[in-house]
Amino acid sequence: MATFAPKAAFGAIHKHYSAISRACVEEGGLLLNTPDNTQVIRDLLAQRVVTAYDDELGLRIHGKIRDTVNYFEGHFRFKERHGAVQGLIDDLDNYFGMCKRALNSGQNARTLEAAISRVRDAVLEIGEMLEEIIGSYRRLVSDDFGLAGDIDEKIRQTMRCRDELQRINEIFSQLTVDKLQERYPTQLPQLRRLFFVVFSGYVARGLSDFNDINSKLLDRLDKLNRDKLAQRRGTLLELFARHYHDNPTYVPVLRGPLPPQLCRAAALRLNHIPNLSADESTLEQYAQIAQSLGSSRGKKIKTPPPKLESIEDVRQSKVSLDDDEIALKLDYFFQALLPGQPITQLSASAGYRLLAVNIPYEDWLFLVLVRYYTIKDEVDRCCLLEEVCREVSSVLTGNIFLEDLIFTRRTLETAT
Amino acid sequence: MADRFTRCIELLLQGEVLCEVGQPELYRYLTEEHGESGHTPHKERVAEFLSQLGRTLTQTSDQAGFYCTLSSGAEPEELRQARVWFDEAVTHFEPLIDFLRMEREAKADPRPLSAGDVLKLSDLEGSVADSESLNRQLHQLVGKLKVARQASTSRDELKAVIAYLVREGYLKEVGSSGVVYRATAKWSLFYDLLEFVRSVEGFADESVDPAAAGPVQTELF
Repeated sequence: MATFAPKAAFGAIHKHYSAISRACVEEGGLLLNTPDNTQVIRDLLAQRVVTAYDDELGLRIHGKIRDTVNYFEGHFRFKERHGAVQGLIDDLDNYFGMCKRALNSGQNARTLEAAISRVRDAVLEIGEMLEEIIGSYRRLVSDDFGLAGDIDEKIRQTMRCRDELQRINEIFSQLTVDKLQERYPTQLPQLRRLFFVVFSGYVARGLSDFNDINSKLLDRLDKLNRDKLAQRRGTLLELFARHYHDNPTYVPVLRGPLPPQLCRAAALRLNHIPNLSADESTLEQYAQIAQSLGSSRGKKIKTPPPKLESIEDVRQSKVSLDDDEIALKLDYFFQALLPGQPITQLSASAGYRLLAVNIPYEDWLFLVLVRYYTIKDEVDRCCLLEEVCREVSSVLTGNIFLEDLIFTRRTLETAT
Repeated sequence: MADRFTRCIELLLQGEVLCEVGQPELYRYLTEEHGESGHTPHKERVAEFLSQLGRTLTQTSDQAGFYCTLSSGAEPEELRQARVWFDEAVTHFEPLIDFLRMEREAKADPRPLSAGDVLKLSDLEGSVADSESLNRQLHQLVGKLKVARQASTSRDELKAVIAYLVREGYLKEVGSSGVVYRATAKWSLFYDLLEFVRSVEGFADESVDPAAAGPVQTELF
């Protein structure tokens, strides 16, 4: 076992400084009893740098050592304080509970006064801690972790700082005036003043300061990342410059595949581009056309134009139809009008419905009219045609707007 | 005038790198978090359209620029053309690196020129006029870029270099006085290329003295 001596103690501190500083800064002085720390604990115990704290939890760094480490680390590292803040708020809850119990049980005034005094102390302590935390953050923000030379280390410290700040911020976000009123319901003037004037004042100022500090931390994080990128790019330039200097004829020749982000698509020469925001169906058509152009580009293969099955042009009312099916339905329609059939009257609209014609009604009407004139003589012998016109109030253009065509079988009366 | 969606598609297909400097309006359009009336973000809409054409909307590693790359499953001919572009791009490494180092030395700032940075011709001119070393570097650069071989003054040489960089899309003139320029995200793509070639060629970073690479300023606030 190593003998205790001041020099040996400093040697042990120096040897295990990382573990000691982590324990002081991040664990509040507690050195966790983990397998990694076995040797550390053995050495530090031998030099009385740590004292037994709890068999299960671990050991505590000696107060003097802790203060010294905190003094040095405080220059560029921050202490994680959210646990301590939460602890003080828990204490405040307890003291408030004591006040309530003293009031409810009708204990003497001194007991109540003592409880209120504890609440006052806790509030002031939280205020002081808040001020201290904000002060330490302000120092950190302004001194740029001056002792951490490496950008990565600065980024790491800044991120830890930001995370810790967020945790503290979350704790205080739960203590706004309305939430304080729910948490500490009281009518006692002394307590109301402590909670809703003094304490809520600390919290409001603290939250405002946290927002400001957080914004500065984020700015700094951005700047550090930009610095890191700039440094990386500077390194790249120097690497290549030296390589070109040493190998004047050097040209990078790479055999392997390119990464996806550098597999640039060849530029297309576009003389004109239609409005692509028209609508979804148009976009799909454009995409199909572009794809077909793209796939044929460079192959110089003449492909026949795509066969369009149907083109709708509402201006001219021209349609390409399935001739066989429509012709058959027209045949059925007029066969029904021929002699020997029981139907006495048939309209184009009824035929359209009964025959389930799958073209627009206007087209059907037009085709019936055309067919009628083709076989007019034959139809006229047995039917009378009545054109049902829709009234049109616009200026007379000479156009007739048909609504229906009604064929009525000739009878003896109509024949005359 | 085509809408912003159409303009984005058009320029991306034409091989442009869209950035805040070159096309501020289109860049904003692509980086807005929400589309019209809170619908699909514009970036996703553009990416989706390009994907139907076998293209991918890609961002430079520093997020400064958008450009078009091939989607997976590209035709061999398309991959060949991408390789042609790459081979062409790497042949310009040396003069561009020389320019960046010269510019960095001239402004006495360790940060190399990056997307969004301002470049003042007068500052460069002043530094080149005051430094024999920079003058020599400029003259060599002109030779490598094969521009302004007949130029008689360093001022003409510098103007020719800047004109070349504007023509190639690395710089964009601010106003029309020909005095102030801003770097585009083509530099970001250039740095990405350098990084890729470095990784493939196996150049070791440790061999570069950090001081030579440009000590990053330590005073941040």
